[in-house]
Amino acid sequence: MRVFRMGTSLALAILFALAMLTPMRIGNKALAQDEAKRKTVQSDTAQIVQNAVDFDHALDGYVPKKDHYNVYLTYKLVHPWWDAVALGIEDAQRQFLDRGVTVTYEYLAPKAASAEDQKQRLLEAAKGSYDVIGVDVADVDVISPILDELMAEGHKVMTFSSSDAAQGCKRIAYVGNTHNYEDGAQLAEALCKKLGYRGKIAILVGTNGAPCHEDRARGARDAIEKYDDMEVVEVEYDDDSSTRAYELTRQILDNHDDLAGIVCCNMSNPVGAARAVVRSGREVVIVGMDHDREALRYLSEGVIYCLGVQDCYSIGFDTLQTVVKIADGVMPGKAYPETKNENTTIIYQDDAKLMRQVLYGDM
Amino acid sequence: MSDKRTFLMHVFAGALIVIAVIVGMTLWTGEGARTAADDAGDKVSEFYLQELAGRRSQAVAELIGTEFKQMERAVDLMMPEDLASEDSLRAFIGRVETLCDLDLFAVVDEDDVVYARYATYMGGSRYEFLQEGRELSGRLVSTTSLYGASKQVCLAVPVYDRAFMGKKLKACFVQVDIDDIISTLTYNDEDGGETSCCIYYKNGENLTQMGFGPIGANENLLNALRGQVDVSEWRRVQESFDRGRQGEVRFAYKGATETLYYMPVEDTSWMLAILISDSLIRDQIRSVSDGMLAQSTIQILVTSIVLLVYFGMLVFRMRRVSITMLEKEREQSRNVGERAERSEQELGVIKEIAYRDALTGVKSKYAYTEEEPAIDEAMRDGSIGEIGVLVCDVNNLKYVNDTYGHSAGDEYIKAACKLVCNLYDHSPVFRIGGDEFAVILRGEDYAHRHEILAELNRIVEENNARGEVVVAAGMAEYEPGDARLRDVFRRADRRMYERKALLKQLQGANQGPR
Repeated sequence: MRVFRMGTSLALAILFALAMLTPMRIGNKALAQDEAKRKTVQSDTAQIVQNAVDFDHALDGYVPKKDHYNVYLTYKLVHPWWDAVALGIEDAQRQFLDRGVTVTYEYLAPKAASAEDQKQRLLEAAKGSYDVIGVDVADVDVISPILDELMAEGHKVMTFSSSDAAQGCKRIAYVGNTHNYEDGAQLAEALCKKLGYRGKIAILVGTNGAPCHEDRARGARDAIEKYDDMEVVEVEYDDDSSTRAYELTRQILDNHDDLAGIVCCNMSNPVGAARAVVRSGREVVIVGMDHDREALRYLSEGVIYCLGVQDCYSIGFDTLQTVVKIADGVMPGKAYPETKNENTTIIYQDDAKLMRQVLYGDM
Repeated sequence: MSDKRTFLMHVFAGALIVIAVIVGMTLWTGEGARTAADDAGDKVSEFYLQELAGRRSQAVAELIGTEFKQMERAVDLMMPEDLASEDSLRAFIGRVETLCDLDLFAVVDEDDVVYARYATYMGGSRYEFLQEGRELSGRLVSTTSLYGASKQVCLAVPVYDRAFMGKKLKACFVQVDIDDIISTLTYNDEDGGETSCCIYYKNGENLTQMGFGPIGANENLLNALRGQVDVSEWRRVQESFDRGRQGEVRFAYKGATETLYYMPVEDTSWMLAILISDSLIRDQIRSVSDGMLAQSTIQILVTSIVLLVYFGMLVFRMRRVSITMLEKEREQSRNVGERAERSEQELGVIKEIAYRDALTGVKSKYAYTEEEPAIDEAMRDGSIGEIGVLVCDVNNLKYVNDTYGHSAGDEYIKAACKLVCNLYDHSPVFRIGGDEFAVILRGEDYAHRHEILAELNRIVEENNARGEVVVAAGMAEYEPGDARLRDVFRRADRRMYERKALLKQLQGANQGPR
């Protein structure tokens, strides 16, 4: 009898414990599901941001043949975008230095984009004792022949960053964005979808003749023109000035009361466009390029719909790695590709917070 | 029983009140001590923070000042040959970096071209002091952002009268990793608590990549404070930051109470902030005071317990002593009673012995003398009433003693006494001498005194004739004028002798006693 009573008590105790634990388990499961969902969202955003800007780089296993290299690099204009590229170059230089290889370089540009200035710089560089001359082509028509000349003179020439030389140019290699046209098209496609494939669109471009800007503008125009109810009403060049972009956008807004969207093809375009749209109080969808701090703030506020962020850091890092190989006489192939493509990632409002935090420490 | 319980209750109640008062006073004193300790902690904390912030701010300012001095010295050391070519300039910069222990040293020409040890690059879009329209006229502290949100401090000074490759040099600068400075200023205490130090811009933005206590590295300090303190307090802090004034604010953040002390860093537009866990110092002071308080409490408790035990033992002891004393008193009183009873008995016996004649069993001469004063008194006050005295003397006792021994003599006396007692059975008979008896006559015997005496005389005369016991008796009555019983006795005694003489004569006639 006593054993029976003890058994009953034990059974009741187990039942009670199970009854107490069951809701906890259900609650925990629900919590775990919430947590997993949140992590998924976070990891999606984190993955997007990580793809867009990758600071984690190490030199490959290539062993330089010399212990000192001297390089000349020139780009379109003095602008924060190329400062970001410079940071990748500096990191690679430090890593080479850690390996006992000194890379000295000049990384110069005019204050305003100018193909003529770039041409003069290249010709001047040709007089110097540089192992490699690199250029972010300001104008394919002007610069590509110069590069061919330099190659013919025995200089080792490469292109990098945002713009390659013209097709058929004899430059050795290119590191940077190889898909400007696609980037422009992709941004425009996102805009069209957002607008329901209907409305008038303006396109802002940077420097007239700059291959990257022109390619993006072309890609955008082609994407928009696919849709019957969409129309590109204006195309304007801001000469890589956000102030100019602002003025142009205001003018465009004045000209078109029914403007539905703006495609911005460089870093300064979306900043100026967003300022003008905010000031007008109108609802115009903006898509644009790059990671300007102000543009990212507009993105997080929803003024800008999306931004195509290029991985400037990787461009810079890979450029210097390629420079050393070219200087050693290694030709494209197994050691490095003739064209090294770097990513462009389209980020939206949800990604803006993390991107601002990662790039600028903004919260 | 009830008194005993009341007493015990009073004792215990008293003891408890005393203990309660002691404990209460201890707690009150303890609370006072704790408040005082807290106040002291606050003051010490404030002083400590001020001192700490001041030293750190000074350390940062000194470090920046040192870097500036090094730079200025480097410019002084710049010789024309160092500016002869790009290689010589880079070599000079390298030497300066090594000699002056500078992280990154560079010079800038009039076109904002930056010449560093390994690179020549455009600085216009990168450095605040090179921004368009800005002219460097003296020392300038600014920051420059690096990719990945990290920042470096940029310390720049103008350069005069120097040219490189036909371009005027306009400035030189160093880049310093601010995190390296701050990490040396953050103090970890032995208990794992941390006194955080950080530098912020006046808008609350973190200059460093380092967290600041519970505030994240990427959080704006002023934004983090918003909502943690009331609006007026927050505005005060914001204004202090804006105007570069030092101040203090206490706030709860992410479950911890923190005290923030901030002060401007000299020659910069930065605010150095020190964060200390509010209770770091106060807790230490409080732990000491609490320890002392706990010690005192333990002492008081032990004392109270000892007192309680002492009281208990005292009461127990008193109770035992009382019981013992009570028992003794009872025993004593019982003994006294018994002794009194025994004395009474003994007295009775003694009295009996004294009052009773051992041989004959009648009252003794002592009893007679005891009786006499009362009768004398009655005579004096006239309340005596009728009373008479019979005096008897045993004849021939000497003859019997001498002839038949004293035992026979005793028997003879006893026979004489019996004779008298048989006749005077209502009156006390006293043996007042060896062969003398006295009877005090009252009541019945007094009323029939003559008849009884006559009967006695008749029996005596017969005895006398038969040679048996002979008692000579003389009787007298109280007469007015008698002052004392002795007066009556004398008359009776005289008559007894007269009778004795008579009986002698008669005895002679009957040939003496047999």
